[in-house]
Amino acid sequence: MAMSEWERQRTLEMIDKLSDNERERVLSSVQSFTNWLRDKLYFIYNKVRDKVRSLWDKLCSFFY
Amino acid sequence: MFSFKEKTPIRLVIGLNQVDKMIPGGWNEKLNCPTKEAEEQLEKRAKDIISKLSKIAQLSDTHIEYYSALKRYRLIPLLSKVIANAYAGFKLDHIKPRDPFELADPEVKAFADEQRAKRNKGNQQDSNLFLEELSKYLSPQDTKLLQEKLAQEKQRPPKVAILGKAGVGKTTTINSVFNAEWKTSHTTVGTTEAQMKEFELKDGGGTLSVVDLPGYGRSLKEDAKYDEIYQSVIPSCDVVLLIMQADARDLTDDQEMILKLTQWLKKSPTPQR
Repeated sequence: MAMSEWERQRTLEMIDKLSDNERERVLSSVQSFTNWLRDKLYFIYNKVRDKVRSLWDKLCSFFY
Repeated sequence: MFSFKEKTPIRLVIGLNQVDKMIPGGWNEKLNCPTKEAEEQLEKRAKDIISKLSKIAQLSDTHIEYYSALKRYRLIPLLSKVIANAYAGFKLDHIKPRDPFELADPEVKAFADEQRAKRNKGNQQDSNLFLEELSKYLSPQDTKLLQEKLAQEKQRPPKVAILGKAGVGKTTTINSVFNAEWKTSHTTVGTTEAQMKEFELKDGGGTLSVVDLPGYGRSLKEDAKYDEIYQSVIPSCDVVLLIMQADARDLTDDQEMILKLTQWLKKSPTPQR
């Protein structure tokens, strides 16, 4: 049976949600990498600490 | 909204599975998604449970996610929480959970594929961008050291411990979220001891180690025995995934387990390898 207009709209909504979820996954990965860097190479983390925050903001602005 | 945290997270993720069963008649099988009305209700109910659980062990809601492994609903949010809270969780960021539209009507799947293909053109963003940017502010020596440490880290397979009561969908969760086939024994019912399983992830994604821990809540005697197993296994894991049934009426055993896990993991903030 052909998809109704409502079904198409609902499917598009679900695709939108999946896209949003993908963006959060990327940010989770960045957060995780930063945590790992802080634990493993603290002196390097200290050198880029301020940059990390501004890059995080930059990355968020790509997404939201 | 996501906010940046400068604190090592507790390596625990709580998954509230089977949300598709929370609202009777609320699942649209043709589209394989909740009806709009049901989605609003289940979101509200799941958030109530998350709020309740987060208070018991002072966990933030960044450790808890609701989903349905069977229907492949909200698998990416669950994976995101695993990535964010696991030690070196970025090693899991290439994993693509199973596609919910594969379970929808073929016509719906075709429509979804067409729409997604249109959107994906020229819209590639990934976390490598972040690493490339950081390298600009480091000396060549520091960059080399970082690359070496990263290569070492990536050689270790991510190690995930999974636990929950019998029938909460641990195996389905692993299969769906990590997009991997986990072969279980047909001769035993339930897991009585910790079982270590290693398997290849799809698309050359490497190996994932999963420690299937015995289920709690059957008897006090068994729970005491299993606590010893949990405490011997958990410190070496990169993340612990506790699966609960989203519509369970009695959360006492789960709450107790969350408290214990939180305490054990606080004692070893990074995995003891």
